[in-house]
Amino acid sequence: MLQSPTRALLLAAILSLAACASTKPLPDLKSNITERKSAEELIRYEPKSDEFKPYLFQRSSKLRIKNDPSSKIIKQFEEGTQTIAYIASVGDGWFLFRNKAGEYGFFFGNAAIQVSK
Amino acid sequence: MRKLFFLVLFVSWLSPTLAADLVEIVWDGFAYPVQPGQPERCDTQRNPMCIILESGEGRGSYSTRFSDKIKSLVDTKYSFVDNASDERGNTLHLAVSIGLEWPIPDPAREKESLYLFCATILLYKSGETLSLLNAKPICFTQPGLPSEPAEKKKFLTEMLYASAQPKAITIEKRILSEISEIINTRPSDLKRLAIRSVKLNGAVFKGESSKRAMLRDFIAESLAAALSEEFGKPIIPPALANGRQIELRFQDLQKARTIELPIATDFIDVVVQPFSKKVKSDELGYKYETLFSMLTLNHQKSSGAGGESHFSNVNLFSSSPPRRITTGNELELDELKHLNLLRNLSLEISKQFSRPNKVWITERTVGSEPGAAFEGLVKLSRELN
Repeated sequence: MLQSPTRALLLAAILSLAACASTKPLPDLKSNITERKSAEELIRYEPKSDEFKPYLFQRSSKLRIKNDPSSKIIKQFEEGTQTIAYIASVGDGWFLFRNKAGEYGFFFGNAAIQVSK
Repeated sequence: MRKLFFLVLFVSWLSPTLAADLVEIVWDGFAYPVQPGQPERCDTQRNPMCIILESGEGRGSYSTRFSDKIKSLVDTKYSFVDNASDERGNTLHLAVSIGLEWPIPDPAREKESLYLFCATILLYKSGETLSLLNAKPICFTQPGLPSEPAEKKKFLTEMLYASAQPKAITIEKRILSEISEIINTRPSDLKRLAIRSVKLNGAVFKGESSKRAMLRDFIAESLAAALSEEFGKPIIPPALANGRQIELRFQDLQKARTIELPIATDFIDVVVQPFSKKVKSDELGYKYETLFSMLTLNHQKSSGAGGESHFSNVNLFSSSPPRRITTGNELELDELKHLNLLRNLSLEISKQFSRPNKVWITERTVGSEPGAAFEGLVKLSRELN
């Protein structure tokens, strides 16, 4: 049914009518991770107390000393781990993790989501 | 002193024991999915990157460089090797399959193209057949691919690993990071979701079979990569030709592999609808155009999981901000812009699979019932999450 030229023309016409609604900026549904800084900037940065938030690790994840998979593993978060932390994106798929005691490390990938207290 | 001696003895005994406890993963190398009629050796017209990935052997070659890099990954459970010490079945293997390379001529820059690159990391187990355990698709886009061979090679080398900018995200760095994670995901982490088919409306790149084939791969790879990223977990990679298997060609032709894919519980079929645009004039007579790209999505559960469909013929579109029309290469620019719209639409759609948003779905659905689409996506996301 979708292959027919009539159908395609009809859809194109409906699309044109929908133009007004389409140019709005899209909502960012995943704005739960702090804005991006370089790894060095993030290590130097001292987060304020309200920047520590509850996170849940959706899958197991390794915390490393650097944002490099050949660097030493400090600890492993198991799936389901909940923790209060400051988490910020380094921008290359890696995230800085810091706890309130000042310990920090890096983990890779979209493993932690912010949860409500 | 005696205690110290025994301590040293104990540690020296423990170290190799710990190393020996690491599970071996055989690094099989970079590979290309086998396409009908494709030459068996590196085809630089179709796959420009193979000129680097398959260049030479031994020290100084890229395969040796990557092999050294992968062996340097630090893990508590696994280590990478070139050959298994005991290959008697059930050995873990890893390969990186290059699913898409698409240089798209850029009319804004003479003799340069936009370069699209998609790869899938495949972790599989040997046995009577090679069965896929996990997969992670990733895509990269870089403008400025030169046409001159030497400059092209320099561009690709920098994109792959040798960027002059220390903070650049090279393909190599990203792949190594992904590999370090995928080896620790459990087979149960794999989402049994598969992009089963991508069809193109007859009007899309009409009469340009090569572009149509590229676009099909581009949509399948982009959507799979976006869904995997959104879920934070691997999904079944887009299958080629025969649906349940991926056939791979390695630099070493003796090492051809056919990998069996896990059975999916949910299939997504995609139709790319014709590119369209709307032109409006303002009070001064200047013309502005808005481009539209649209994908039609269909869901079906596997026959083993009931075969039902949570949604069908859902048309979701993306549009560009209005831009003033100037003379020039409008047609070529339009193509690039439509591809960008489709890529963004894939990212946005993947969010709806994980966390459906009623407002977004209502605004972006056309020619189908948004309420039903939302309900269907909510049902699917509950099952997948």
